[in-house]
Amino acid sequence: MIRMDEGEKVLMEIRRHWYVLITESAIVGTFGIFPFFALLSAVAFDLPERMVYLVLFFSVGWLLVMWSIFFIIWTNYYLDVWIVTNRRVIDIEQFSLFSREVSEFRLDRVQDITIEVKGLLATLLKFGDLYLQTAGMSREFKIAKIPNPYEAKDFIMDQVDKALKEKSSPNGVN
Amino acid sequence: MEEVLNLFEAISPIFMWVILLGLVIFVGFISSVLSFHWKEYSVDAFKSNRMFRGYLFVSGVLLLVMIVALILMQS
Repeated sequence: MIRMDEGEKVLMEIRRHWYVLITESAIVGTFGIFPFFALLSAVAFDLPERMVYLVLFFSVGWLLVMWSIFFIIWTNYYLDVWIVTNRRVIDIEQFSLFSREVSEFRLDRVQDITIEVKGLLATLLKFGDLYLQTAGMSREFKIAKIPNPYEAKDFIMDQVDKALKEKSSPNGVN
Repeated sequence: MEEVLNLFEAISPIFMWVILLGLVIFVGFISSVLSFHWKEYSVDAFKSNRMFRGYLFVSGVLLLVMIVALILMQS
């Protein structure tokens, strides 16, 4: 579990657009339809009862494998997230089941945010990439294909402003 | 078609139980790996538990259907 400091609140969770999930699970979805065709064929061809149970056994087994693969894709999608709190941004990059990267940066260190919306589909479905540069770090943080990137950028900038104000105030906690 | 039916008829029930056992091990392995991820890399324990239980529930139902189909086939 990601630990929060005392007084720290999660303000926003930014995940990739549902379009990413749809494209990644399209093949699994297509293969997941096969068992239903097999079952329908078994009934339509009036196969002996024993054979129908056999087809049911293999169809459900196939469906179970597809369901597990889909859940792995869902886990990768759901846990690949930027968590914006009132103090920092936690970037969890889930590459695959056994490969991930967790990094974080304080909001008062954010220097600039760039949005990139490329292509017709991205424009129509309102998704794009968000790049974030922090002070003193050579690397750039990126979250690809997030929904409503402009709103996300505005929200993060508001939080950055608040964090900076809090830091510069005489009794600021940061 | 007849040949395919004969091929299916020739499948030994033991082989089917082995397939079932293989799938149980597969689901067990995936569950243990996923449970680690949902515990370690989420911020909301309630949501994570609900989603992971959803996976286990659907997998359990599918395995149950397989067992029932196997028993009915052998009866």
